[in-house]
Amino acid sequence: MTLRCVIIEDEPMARKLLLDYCSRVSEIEVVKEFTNGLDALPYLNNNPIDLLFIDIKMPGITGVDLVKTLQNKPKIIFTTAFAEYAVDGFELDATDYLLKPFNFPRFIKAVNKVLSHTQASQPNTDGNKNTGGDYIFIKDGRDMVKVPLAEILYIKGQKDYVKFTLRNRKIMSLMNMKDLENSLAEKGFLRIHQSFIINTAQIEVVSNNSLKINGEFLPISQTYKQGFKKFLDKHQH
Amino acid sequence: MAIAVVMFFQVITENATLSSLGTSNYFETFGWIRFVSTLWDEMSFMIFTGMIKFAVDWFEMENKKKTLENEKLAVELKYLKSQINPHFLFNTLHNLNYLTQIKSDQASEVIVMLSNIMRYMIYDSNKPSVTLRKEIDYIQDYLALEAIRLNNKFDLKFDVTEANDQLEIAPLIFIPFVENAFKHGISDKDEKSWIDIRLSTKENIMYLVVENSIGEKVDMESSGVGLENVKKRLALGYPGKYTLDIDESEKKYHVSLTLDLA
Repeated sequence: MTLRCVIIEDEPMARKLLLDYCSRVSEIEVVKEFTNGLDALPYLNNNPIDLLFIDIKMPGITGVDLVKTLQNKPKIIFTTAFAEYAVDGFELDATDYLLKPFNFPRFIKAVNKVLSHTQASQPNTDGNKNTGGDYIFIKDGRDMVKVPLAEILYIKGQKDYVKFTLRNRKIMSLMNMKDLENSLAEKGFLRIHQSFIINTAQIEVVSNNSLKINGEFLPISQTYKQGFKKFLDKHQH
Repeated sequence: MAIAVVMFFQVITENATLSSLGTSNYFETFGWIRFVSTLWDEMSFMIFTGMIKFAVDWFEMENKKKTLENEKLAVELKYLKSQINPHFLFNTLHNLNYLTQIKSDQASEVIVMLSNIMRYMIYDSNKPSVTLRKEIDYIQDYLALEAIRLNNKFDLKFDVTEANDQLEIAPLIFIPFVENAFKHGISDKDEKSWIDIRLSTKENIMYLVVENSIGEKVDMESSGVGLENVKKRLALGYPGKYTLDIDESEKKYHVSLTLDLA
């Protein structure tokens, strides 16, 4: 699932920075960018989008006023240098509020909120969410989120972050694949590719160069084939 | 109190002058006339002293009001000076964030200029006056930061060749006019926008002209506040020693400030 996203920001560098951050997250597709709200309004009223990054203080119309006029509100993330606007922002049911200057981890945290909001409407298929069992803490901005290991299907490494695919949501986190591989090795997790660490308990089917988890095929690369073979041998009768 | 003293003297003098007429005579002939005249005297004295009292009280109150007002202005002045645009500061930091991200050499340039600006705001803005040089440097750094922020997409002139930069001026007088020029005229969409600033001095008289093209206006709430502030500061710091003309035509915004720095 990709989020169709629009950026409205009058500061040229702030716009470029947001574009750069968005381009690093595969879940986000920036469909349009605007330098002010008035130019964006017709587009927003005619094109459904999932996510709007919008500056508050801009020429013409403020971000807050623009959001008020929108009929079909996408998920909103306000960006601004003014802390005092935060209250306004949250009154409008903004998903998050990025206070300039903000960095990539903080940006990822905002996007995580959007992802968890959009996926929260889906039924929670995980019954054992809060039952004991083993768990890890995942970095989310400056916070750590506790996630039961049983919930994790696989972990995908991106350029700047890793993405945990859980049974009913995704969490992006600025962690390191190598560290994760090592710390989770004892807990039934296995690296099968430069970009994938899988929860072996979730494997459904194993083919020659791939395996299936939750209906999705993941590649097993040459480098990690040997290790995976060892794992298979251990579990073959 | 005053009335009692007056009455006491009146009674004594009357007794002295009228004693020659004899007591019985006095009451018979002058009975009602004396009553009226005494009443008149007393009344006029009461009114007179009352007016004095009123005048004294009025002056006292006016004085109190004035000191109160002065105190208020002093506080306000302090506040106005501290009103350095935080929006500018945080936006610049955010731009810096971007420049370091793309590993641009401009990042270090921005850090140095921002430091200069902050140093000026932190250490010099509290002083009653600074050299014109310092104020000019501050404006130059500010302009350079804005130029980087807007990607140099506008025509900017700042001419100080005719200025004696050793004259002393109250700090942060120029910046509201310069900020205002950016608020009114410059957007990164319109590449034909321009700002022209000229500063010159003759003897102790300083002339500042800020002109800019008019483009899209930024939201109204914030623009104008800075100008009102500097008008108050000029009126307080240079009473009768400045003229300020602001002209707005369809295409051009013009500010000219003449200031006697003697």
